[in-house]
Amino acid sequence: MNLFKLINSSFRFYWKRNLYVSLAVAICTAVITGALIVGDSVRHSLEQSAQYRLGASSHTITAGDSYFTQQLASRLGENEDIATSPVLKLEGSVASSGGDLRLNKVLFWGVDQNFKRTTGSDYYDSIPEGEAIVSRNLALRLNLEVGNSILIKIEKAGLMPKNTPFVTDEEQFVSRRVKISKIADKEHLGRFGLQNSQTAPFNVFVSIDWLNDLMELDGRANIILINSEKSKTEIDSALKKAMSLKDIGLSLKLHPNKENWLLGSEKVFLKDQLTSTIERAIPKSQAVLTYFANSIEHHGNISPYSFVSTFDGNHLAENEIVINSWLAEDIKAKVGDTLSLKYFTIGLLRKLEEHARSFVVKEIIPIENQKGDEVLMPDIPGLSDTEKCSEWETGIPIDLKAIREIDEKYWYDYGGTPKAFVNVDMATGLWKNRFGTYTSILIPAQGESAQSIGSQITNSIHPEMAGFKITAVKLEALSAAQNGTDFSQLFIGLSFFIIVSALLLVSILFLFNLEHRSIQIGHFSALGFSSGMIRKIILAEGFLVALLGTLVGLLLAIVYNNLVFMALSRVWQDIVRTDVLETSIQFNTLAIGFLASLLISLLTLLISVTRLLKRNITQLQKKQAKVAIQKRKRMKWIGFSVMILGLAVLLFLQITNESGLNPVMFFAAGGILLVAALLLTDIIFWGIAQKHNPRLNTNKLAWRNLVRNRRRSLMVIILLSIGSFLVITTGANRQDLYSGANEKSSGTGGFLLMAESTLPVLKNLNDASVRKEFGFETEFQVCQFRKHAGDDASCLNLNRISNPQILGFDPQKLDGRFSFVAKTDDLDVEHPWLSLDKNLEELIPAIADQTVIQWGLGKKVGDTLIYQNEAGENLYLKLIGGLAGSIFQGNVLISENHFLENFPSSSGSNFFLIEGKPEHQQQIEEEFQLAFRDLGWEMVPAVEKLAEFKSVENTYLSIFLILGALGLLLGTVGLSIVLARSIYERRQEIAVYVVSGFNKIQILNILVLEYFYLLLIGSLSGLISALLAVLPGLLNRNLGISTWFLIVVIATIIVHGTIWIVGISIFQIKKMKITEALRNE
Amino acid sequence: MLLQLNNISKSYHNATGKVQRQILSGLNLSVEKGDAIAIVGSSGSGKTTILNLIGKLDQPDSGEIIFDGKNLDSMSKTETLQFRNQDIGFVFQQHFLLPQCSLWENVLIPVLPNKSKMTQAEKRGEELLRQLGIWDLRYQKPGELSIGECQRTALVRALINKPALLLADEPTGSLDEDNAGQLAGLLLELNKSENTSLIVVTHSMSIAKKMDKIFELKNGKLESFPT
Repeated sequence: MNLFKLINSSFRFYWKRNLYVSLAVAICTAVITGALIVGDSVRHSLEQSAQYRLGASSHTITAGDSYFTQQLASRLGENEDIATSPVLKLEGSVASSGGDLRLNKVLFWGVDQNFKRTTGSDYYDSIPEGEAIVSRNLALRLNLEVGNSILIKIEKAGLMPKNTPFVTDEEQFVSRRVKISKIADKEHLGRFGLQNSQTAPFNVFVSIDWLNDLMELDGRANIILINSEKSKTEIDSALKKAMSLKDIGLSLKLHPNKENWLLGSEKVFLKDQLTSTIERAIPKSQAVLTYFANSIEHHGNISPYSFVSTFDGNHLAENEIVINSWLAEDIKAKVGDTLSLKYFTIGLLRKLEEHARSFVVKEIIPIENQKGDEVLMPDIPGLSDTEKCSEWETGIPIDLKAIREIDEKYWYDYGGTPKAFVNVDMATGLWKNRFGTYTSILIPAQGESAQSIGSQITNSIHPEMAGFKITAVKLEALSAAQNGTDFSQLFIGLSFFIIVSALLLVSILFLFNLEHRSIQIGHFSALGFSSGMIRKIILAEGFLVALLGTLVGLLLAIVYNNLVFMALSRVWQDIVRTDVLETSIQFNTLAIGFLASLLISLLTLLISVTRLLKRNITQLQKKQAKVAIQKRKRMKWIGFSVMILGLAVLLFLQITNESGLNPVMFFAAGGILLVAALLLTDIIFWGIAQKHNPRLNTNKLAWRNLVRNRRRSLMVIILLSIGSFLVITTGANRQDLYSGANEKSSGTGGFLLMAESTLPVLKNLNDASVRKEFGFETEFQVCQFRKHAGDDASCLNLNRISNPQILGFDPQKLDGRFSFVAKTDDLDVEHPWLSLDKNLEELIPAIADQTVIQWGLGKKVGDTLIYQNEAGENLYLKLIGGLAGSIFQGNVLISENHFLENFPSSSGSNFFLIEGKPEHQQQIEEEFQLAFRDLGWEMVPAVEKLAEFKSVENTYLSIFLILGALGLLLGTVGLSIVLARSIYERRQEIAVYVVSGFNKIQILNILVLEYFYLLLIGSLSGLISALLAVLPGLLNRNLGISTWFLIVVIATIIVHGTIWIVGISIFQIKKMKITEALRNE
Repeated sequence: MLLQLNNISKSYHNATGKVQRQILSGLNLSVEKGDAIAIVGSSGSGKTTILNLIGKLDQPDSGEIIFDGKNLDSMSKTETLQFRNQDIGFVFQQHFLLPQCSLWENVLIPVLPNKSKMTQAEKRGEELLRQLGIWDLRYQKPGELSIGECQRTALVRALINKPALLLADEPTGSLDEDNAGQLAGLLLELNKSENTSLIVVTHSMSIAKKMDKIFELKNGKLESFPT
C-alpha cells in the first residue's frame, strides 16, 4: 500500500459521490470554456465575414468625393506585386419590376475584368451592359430571381461637389431598368463591402464602363482595389508616381498667347492647399479667381451675366476695376466712372444671397487684347459647355429675359472672356468659399510642355493632399474583428451566476463527500497523519475528480457554444445581425478553459478541505454541529452595522442630492442592503441556535433545524438571494422602449421623426420657399445633418471601430435636447451642444453616445479620434461629452462649421430630425416621402429608432436574465442536493419522529417548512435589495418592469423551489428504511 | 396481559426475493403489565428485530402480536401512529437526540403530534428530568452533554407520553460500566414507579440480571434464561 494506491482506491470506491462532484465541475468548465469558444467563434465569424466582404483585396485607394481615371489603377498595377482594379461605387435604390418592393441604401459597384485580380472572384467577369449581378440578401428582400428585371435609381455622380457655386443640382439621380444576370452568394463576394461591419450590404454589381456612361463620365472610378502584400507606404509612393493631373481633378490649358499655361480644376474652385503647394513648387505661378457676376451697372445701363477675373488686376487698388472695351461701350462707362457689380454668394444648403459692390473704372482695355482670355472661365457644366446663353443651366437663377442679343453675340464671339478685372485681394475677400479661393493658376510657359508642367505639379502634390486615402482594408478588418465585441468576456460575465452556482455546487458536493468520510479523516489524524498529509490525500483525490469533470466539461463546452450559436442565429439575432456564424474550436482556448476550470475547481476544493480540516477531530468523529464562536458573531455585528451605516449615508446623500437620484448609487445601495441582509440572517440564525424555547411546536422545530447547519443554510440563502437580486435587477433594467421617449431630454431629443436619405438633400428644409418648392404644407421643424461616411459604431456592429460616421449640424438646433451622462470640462453645463462650436486649438469638439464611446470605440470622454480630412490632414475630434442612449448611436457629432472646414465639398444633408405635432406625424411622413422618394428617403418615428437600439440592450439583458435563471435553476438543484443530503443525514432524526408516532405529513411538514423558510428568506432578501437597487427607475416609472413581473419572478422561484423541496422530501422519506436508520452500528 | 407474541417468524430476503436468513422462527413471548424483561443473545440473533416487530416498525412473516388485546396487524395507520406515540416508548443504543434542539425540546418532541397534551407533558417532562437529575441541563444541546446525560434524556423522551411499554435496544451499549449501571437502575426505578412494562435487549448480563425475567434468543426462539 502506498499513498497513490490509497487515493486511487478511494477515488474508485466513492465513484458515485465523486461523479456528482465531477458533474458540477463539468458544468462550470462547460460554461467557462463554452464562453471562450463562443468568443473565438464570433471572432472567427467576424474574420470570415471580412473574408467574404473583401475577398483577396488587401488595400483600397479612395479619393473622397472625387473621381480619378480608371487608368490610374492600370498605371498603379504596372508595379510589381500590386494587382489593382478600378471600381466606381455609387449609392442608390432598387425597386422590383412591379415597383411594390423597394430597397434604399443599395451599393452599386461598377467593376471590370480586373476585379478578379484583386478579389480572387471571377464571378463578375464581363457583366453585359444593362445587366446586373445582385447580392443574395437583396434578391431575397425583393423576391428576385435570375432573369428578373429591376429598376435601379443611382445617385448622379459628378466631378464637382453638388453644392459647388453655379453648378446645377437638377439631375440628382439616374434611373435604368436592368436584368439580373446572376445572384451572388457570400462565396461569390455577394457580401462585398468596405465598411467594417458584419452586416452584409445590399449590393448590385454592374460594368464600370456602363456605369460611367450612365453618369456621363469618361472612364472614371472612385476606388482602386488592391491585392498586394506591400505596405501602405510602398503603395503610397507607387500612387504618387502613377498619379496624373487628371486623377487629381486638374487640367492644363495653354493660353492662346502661349505665354502661360492655365491650370484649372474640374471642381471649379481649386483647393487652397493645392493652390499654395503649386504656387510654392512652380516659381512665378499666379493664382487667379474668375467669378460670375449677375450684372454690371453704370447709370442704369446694365450688362447681365459677366465673368470678372483677377487675371489682370494686380496693379489695382481695392475699389478699382479694369473693364474691357465691349463692356465700356455696353454700359457707357469711362475711366473714373463708378460701376455697381452684383453677384451671388452661395451659403450653406444652397442659400443664395445677392450682394453689390461699387468699383471705379481705372482702365478700359481693348477687347482685341483679350484674345484667348475665355480660358479663364472655369469649366462649369451647364454654362461653359453651352453654345448660347439661353441654354445655360446653372445652380443659380438665371433671368433669361435679361439676356440680350448682344450678350448672345458676346458669348458667341468671346465665350466666357472676362469683361472686367479687379484686385485679387478684394476679389478673394468677396468670393472665396469653402470649396476654394481661386479658379485657376497661371503658370509661365517658358517653352515647357504640358507634360513637363504636369509632372512638376504632381511631383509637388502628395496623394493625401489630393484627397487620396490608402486603407489597409484587410488588416483593418481583421483588427476590427479581433478587437470587436469580446463575446468570451461577455458570456463569461453573462454566465457568471451559473459559474458561481456550479462552484457552490462543487463545494457543497465535495463537502458532503468529505463529511460522509469525516470519521475516516478523523481516523487518519488519530493514526498520526499530519494535516498536510490528510489535505494532500483529499486534494489528490479531488484533483482526479476535478480532472474528470473538466474533461467532460470540455465536451459540454462545445454543446454550450452550439446552443448559444443556435440562439444567436435565431432569438438573439438582434445582437449579431449576421448569418455568418461559424464555430471555431481552438486548441489554445480548450487548454485555457481546461486549466482555468481545473484551477478554479481545485481552489474551491482546497477552500472546502481547509475549512473542514479546521474543525477539530473530535467534532469530526462526533459529527456534531459546530457551536458558533462569539468573536465571529461580534465581527458580524460590526460588519452589519457598518453596512447599515454606509447604506444610511448613501441614501441620505441621494435623497438630499438636488441633481436627482443616481441609479448607480442605488444599485450599490441595493448590493449593500443584500450583504447586510445576509449578515443579519447569519446573526439571527446564530441567535435562534442559542435561544431557549420553553415551548416547542413544529414551527420552532423547523427554525431549530434551519440553524442546525448554519453554513449550509446560508449558502443556499446566498445563492437564492443573489439569484433573485440579479434576475430582478436585470429584468428591471430592461428598458421600456417607449416610456418618456417624447421628452426633449430623452434619447429622441423630443423629435417626432428621424430620416436618412441615400442621396443628399441640398437645400434648407426650414426655408419657406424651399418648402413651397417641395410641396410641404404641414408645420414642422427640421434639424439637418451633413454626413461624412464612416463605419457604424452602434451596438449593431460587433467590430471595433476607429472611425465612425461623422454628422455635422448647427448646434443651436439641439440646444436643450437630449441628456448627457459623461462630460469633460470643455462641455458647457447649461448649453452643452453649443460647446461644439468651441475652438480647442487643434482639436475639434465632438459628442457621441456614451455607449458608442465606451463599447463601439473602446474610449472614454476626453479621448481623441483621428480622421483624415479632405485636404489629407489629420483631423482630431475630442470627445467632450457622452450622451445617454440616443438615436445618434453609431455616429460622432460635430458642429457644421467645423465639419465644413474639414469636408468642404460635403453636399447637403443625409440625416434629419423632424419636430412636429404628433397628430401630424402621418401627414409629415407622407409629404416627405412624396418629396424625397427618389433620394432614397427612409423615415421612421424617432421613438422607434430609439427602441431599435434599446432592444439590442434588452436582448443582452434577456441573455443575462436567461443565463441568470439557469444559474438560479442550478442553485435550486444545489438546494435540492442539500435537502436530499440533509434528509439522508437526518434519517435517524426522522426515525425518531416515526417511532414517536409522527405521521408522514407531520414529518413532511417539518422538513418542508424548514426549507421553505430558506427559500423565502433567500428570495425575499434578494427582492427587497433589488427593489432598492432599482428604486430610481421605479419612481420614474420608465422601467421595463411591472409589479406583475416581480410577483411572477418571486413566485416562480418560490413555487419552483417548493416543488423540489416537497418532491425530494417525499422521495427521501418514502425511500427511507426506518429499521436501518435505527441500527446501532 | 399487555403483550403477547404468538408463533412469530421473520426472515430477511435478498434482492431477488430469496430467503437469505431466517431470524425468528415460531417465537413466543408474553409480557404482563409492569414486567421487566431482558432479552439476550449473540449479535445478529434477531434481538432488535423483536423490538422492531413489537413497535410495528417491521412486519413478521407469520404469527401475531397482540398488544393490550389488540392484534397489531389489524391496526389502521392512525391506530399505529397512536400506538407508537402513546403506548410504547423506544430507547436505543445511540440516543438519537436532535443535535439542534436543547434537552428540553428533545424530550417534548413526541408530544408534537398531539399538541393538546403539551402542558401536561411539560409537567411530566420536568418531573422526569428532575427525577433523572438533568433538569438543570435542560437548555443544553446534546453536543454539550455527556453520553450518559444524553441517554437519560432519551429515556425521558421515551417516557414523556406515559407509555405502557418501554422498548430499550442496548440502552447501555455506549456507556461505561458506571453509567450503564446507573441507567439500568433508572430503567427499573421508572418501571416500578410508573408501572411501565420494560423489554430490554442487551448483551450485558449484568444489566439483564437486574430484570425480572431473562430470555435468550437462540435459533429464532426465546428460551428462559436462569436468573
